[in-house]
Amino acid sequence: MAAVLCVNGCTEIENLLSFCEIPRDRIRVEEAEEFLSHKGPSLTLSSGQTVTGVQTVAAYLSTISKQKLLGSSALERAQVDQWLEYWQIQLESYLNDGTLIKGALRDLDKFLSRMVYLVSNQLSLADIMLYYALHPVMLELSIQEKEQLVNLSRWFNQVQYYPGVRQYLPEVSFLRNMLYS
Amino acid sequence: MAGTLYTYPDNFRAYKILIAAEYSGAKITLPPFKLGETNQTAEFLKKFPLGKVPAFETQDGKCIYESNAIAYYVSSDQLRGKSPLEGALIQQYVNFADQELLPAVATWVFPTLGLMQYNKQATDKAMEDIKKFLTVLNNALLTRTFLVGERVTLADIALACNLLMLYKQVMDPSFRAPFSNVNRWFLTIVNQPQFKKILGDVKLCEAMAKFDAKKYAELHPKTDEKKEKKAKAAKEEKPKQEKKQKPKKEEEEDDIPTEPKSKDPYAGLPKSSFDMDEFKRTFSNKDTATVAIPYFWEHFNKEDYSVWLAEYLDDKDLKMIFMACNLVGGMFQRIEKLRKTAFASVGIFGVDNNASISGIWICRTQELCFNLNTDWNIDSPSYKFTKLDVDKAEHKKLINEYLLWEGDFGGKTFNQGKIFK
Repeated sequence: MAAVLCVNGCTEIENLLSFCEIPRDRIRVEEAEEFLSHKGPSLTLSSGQTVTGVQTVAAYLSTISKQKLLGSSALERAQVDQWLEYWQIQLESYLNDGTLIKGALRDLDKFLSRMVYLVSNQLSLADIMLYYALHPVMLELSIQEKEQLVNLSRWFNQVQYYPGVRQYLPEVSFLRNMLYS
Repeated sequence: MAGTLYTYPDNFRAYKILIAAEYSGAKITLPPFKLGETNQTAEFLKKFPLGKVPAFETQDGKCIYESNAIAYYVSSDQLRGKSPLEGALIQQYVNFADQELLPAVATWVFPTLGLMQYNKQATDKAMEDIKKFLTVLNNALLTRTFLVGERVTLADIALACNLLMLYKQVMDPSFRAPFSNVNRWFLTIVNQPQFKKILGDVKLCEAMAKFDAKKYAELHPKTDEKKEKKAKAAKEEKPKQEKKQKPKKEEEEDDIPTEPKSKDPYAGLPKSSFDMDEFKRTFSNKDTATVAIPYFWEHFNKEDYSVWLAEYLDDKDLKMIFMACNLVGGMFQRIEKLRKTAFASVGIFGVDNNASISGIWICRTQELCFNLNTDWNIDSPSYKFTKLDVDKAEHKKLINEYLLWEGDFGGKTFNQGKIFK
């Protein structure tokens, strides 16, 4: 019997589900009877148990995905969790604040100057979820702002072209040549 | 896609093929291979007339040589680029890696592995070239995760494999620090599972490796008849010429004076009562007329040492005084090894367009030092050497004049002098 996923309006989980290419006979998506804004997505396993919350559901989907999204060691798994927690606790609340989000983007840019992916050397759940979270912000940035955040832009561009990640989200364009510096 | 790959182990050219196959899933069989034997068999040469490795035979018997061609064959579409433009850019980097980068990498790294003689000038030039190439790559990789498109392609594989030796052997943290984008890219690349499977853990260099003279001597035993050896070696080492640097290496071997390995003709001589070092110290630090010259006559041992007058033969070639000075300076530089046992005071006489060079040389044994080793007789044929008899008053006077840079020098006007010590 398939597990039942109730997305409850969470597009990140919807996209992740498509990216993970989990067959529908393993997880069936059901619409909530009524949309509950205070509740995140929930997943009812075949055993009847239910887990709730975007981070939890994302981690569960990653474990049954064919792709290795949670790192290849305990440390890497912890690093993935660290980024997911950062996303949930800090980034989400910054998203509506112009100054806070600019500071967060600068921090990320600095971190990504020496990394291709957020954790280790492979794409992980951390990259995917942060990509979804930052997509609306990146879409709004001017060319000059994107150039100032060249490391973040490079990372974002790489993740959006990773097969299956972008789903139905509009493409954010980046220039390869530097116009302002 | 499947086939048989002929190569010796740990061949960085074969890495490209094996990594590409990891990405594409092509099945590659590696038969036992002995360099110099397997690739010289009639059967092998019939398939691969160059006798070089890596060489590849497809499942249905088609033969391919040249590592980049084989890597292309075993690649997936993703590795080859998804459009003609991507394909062209990949070719650009593959060619850049082999034609621009690799010669410089070899010049710098091979001496540290003892594969090639060290030549400071060549190495310095190679290091400069590599800085230039890395700057180009660093700029390209500022806005790019991988070289072409957004995923690993043959461009990344080819370049990473050619940079591997640099990162492992010679590029220490301070050398590579300015190229942070290249470092990020390289570390990501070599840690991809497909690379790791072939390359293992890549440990970046901590301290810059230097020329390994011992290893070089082991790998290049000297024989008396170098020519013969070379003819033989050329035959034997043919397979290794797959590494394109090999022929170059042999050329260079000819150019570089063989100082480090040449035998010291003075080895085994007993210590003389005339202490050359002490004389040189006295000459440098004390007054020449009152201390150094008396010291010389007191201690000089005419059994162990000989004194020679050297006169430059083609005086009319010496147009300008500074040219004469350069000539003498150059000669001193070329006989660095003689500094331990020889001393010279050479004068440049006259004026521009009417100059001459002459000097005295003091050297160990009664034999003129320049004749003892072929590396030392580069400049000496341009001079006429006359052995001086220290017991003869006129010769003694001459020696004093040259040590002091004062006197009539047989009627010549002293312009300036140079000391070899």
